[in-house]
Amino acid sequence: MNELLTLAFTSFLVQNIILNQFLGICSFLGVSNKRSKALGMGLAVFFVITIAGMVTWAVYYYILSPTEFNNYTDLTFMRTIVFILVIAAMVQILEMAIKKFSPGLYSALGVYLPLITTNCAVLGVALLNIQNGFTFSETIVFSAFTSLGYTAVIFTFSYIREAMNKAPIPEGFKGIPAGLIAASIMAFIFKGFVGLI
Amino acid sequence: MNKILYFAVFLTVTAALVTTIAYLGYELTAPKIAENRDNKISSSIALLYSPDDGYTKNDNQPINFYQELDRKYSSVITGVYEVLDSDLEVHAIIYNVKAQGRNGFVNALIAVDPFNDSVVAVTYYEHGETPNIGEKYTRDDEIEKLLGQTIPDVTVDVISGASTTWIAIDEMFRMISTHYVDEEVHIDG
Amino acid sequence: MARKKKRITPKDNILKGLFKENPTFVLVLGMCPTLGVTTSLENAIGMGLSVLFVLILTNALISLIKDIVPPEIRIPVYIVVIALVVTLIEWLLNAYIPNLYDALGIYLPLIVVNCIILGRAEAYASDNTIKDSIFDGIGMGLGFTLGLSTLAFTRELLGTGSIDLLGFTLFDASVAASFLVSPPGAFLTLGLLIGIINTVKIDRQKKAKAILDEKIKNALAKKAAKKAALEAQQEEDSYKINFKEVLTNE
Repeated sequence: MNELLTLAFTSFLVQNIILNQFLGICSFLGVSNKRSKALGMGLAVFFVITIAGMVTWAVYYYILSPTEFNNYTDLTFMRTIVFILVIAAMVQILEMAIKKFSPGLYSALGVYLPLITTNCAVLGVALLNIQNGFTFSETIVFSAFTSLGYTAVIFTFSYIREAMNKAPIPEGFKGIPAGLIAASIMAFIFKGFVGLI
Repeated sequence: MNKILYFAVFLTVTAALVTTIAYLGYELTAPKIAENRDNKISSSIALLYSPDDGYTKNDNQPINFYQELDRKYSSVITGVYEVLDSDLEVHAIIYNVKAQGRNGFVNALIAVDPFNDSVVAVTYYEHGETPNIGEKYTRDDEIEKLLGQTIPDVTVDVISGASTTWIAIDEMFRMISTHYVDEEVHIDG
Repeated sequence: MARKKKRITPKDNILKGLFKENPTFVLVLGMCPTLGVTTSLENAIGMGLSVLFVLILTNALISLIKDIVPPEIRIPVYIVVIALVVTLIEWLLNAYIPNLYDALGIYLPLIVVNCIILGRAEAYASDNTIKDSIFDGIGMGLGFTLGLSTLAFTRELLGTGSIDLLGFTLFDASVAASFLVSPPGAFLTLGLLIGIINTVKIDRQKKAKAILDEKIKNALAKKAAKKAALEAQQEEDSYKINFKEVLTNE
């Protein structure tokens, strides 16, 4: 339990997926300029990464690895291809499921779901789960808290960007450059979390 | 209906084609990749036990004992190897370990004498620890303190200000001890 | 009625990818490896060239199959093609350039979801000839490499004081701003670079607009002057006619 807590803390704060691992930057820059958009994307990412992390883990260890299900053939070399297909399919199914069972939720985050398929963060977390040799519970914790780190940062950042819109910034630096510089300050702050545990 | 059939056929053909090409690519590159890995292991073992003095790696290690590391070890232990001396007798067991330090991973080779369970050699072959702080652990005087200690009771000296590095090195020895005891690495002799 | 497609020369195609539509500085695509791999110039060039190879192959392949893929399922098919190409390149690098493979780490398989590749496949290769697609791939790949290298050059030089390239050490300073090779430095350097490039671009646009305005003003003034001259001439002529009439009538 102790180790799971440490893992949760580390993946949320110390090795924050945006400010330390640099995964999910494209969507981070594109969607963080309005608070409502940022929250929608953040929640969608949380759902997708947590579920995708678990599903891809299961696919790797029960379908791709030599097990009695597949007659002990080693298909792990198909890892990347299968993972991205699983993620794409999963996102489709998730979108349809949310549309059907919770229209409210769908109006909040449905439009962001298709974009998440090509978000580096999803495939990145799926591959990291395997690379780090996590057990299933570690996978759940890592996926959930890494994606929560994404949600927290993108939401906080949207406040900053909305305030920056009203600030007098030179024409050439408006928009993305100012956003990146603000992100660098946030990254500095998060750097201080290293060695906290 | 025709359209869906066409889709299904198209997708199946694509899947089969992709799997075949991937499999071929894998078969072509996997031997070279394994060879690279072997060379890397041999050259890092040579840091501790030079082949010039007749030391070699035991290529016939019992599988499922040293090479197929259980997942519970593999986050820290990258490999376990037997080193044979010039008479092809077991000379030492080398643990190739890595743990998260202050600035990236700390990679170390730790050699253990399987007959008396003592640490006989330590080298940090790759790390990014802070010079003069965490990096102090990689110096000869700190390594001296580790040599001779018995698995599983290895204690790492605390250097003030270098707690993150200490945690990494301590974790290495803890994982080595777990593996050593659970896999019964000790050799009577 | 479909408009006839404007043909673009290979040279223009490459230049477009390098400057006008540079993936890193103009399109702001493929940010994840841009920030993650640019701590050293060697790694940046390695990543850039890997993406270049992948782009050429995927653009060519997708342009090849664009007519037989049913449009409804084209995206999954494209993704599978890209994933296959990236996986093969991964294995090739692991076998023959293992140092680069280790240095690129997780960013190598993540080339699959690099927005540039799927973006170009969807936007260009699915609509153009194989030859054009290949050159587009070359242009974008070179542009990406240029972007990464510029960023890495700045970060490595100012962040560590020296640049290590293929065994040669260029420069060697004793002081450096080491935060530049850490994550905050990545964001900062990229933000400053894009900001500077945008400022220069806007400046140029303003100057070009000013010159254009000047030209228009001059042209209008000329036109007005011409018109005035014509009117003056007509007035003079009508005076002459009136005068003549007066004379003859007398």
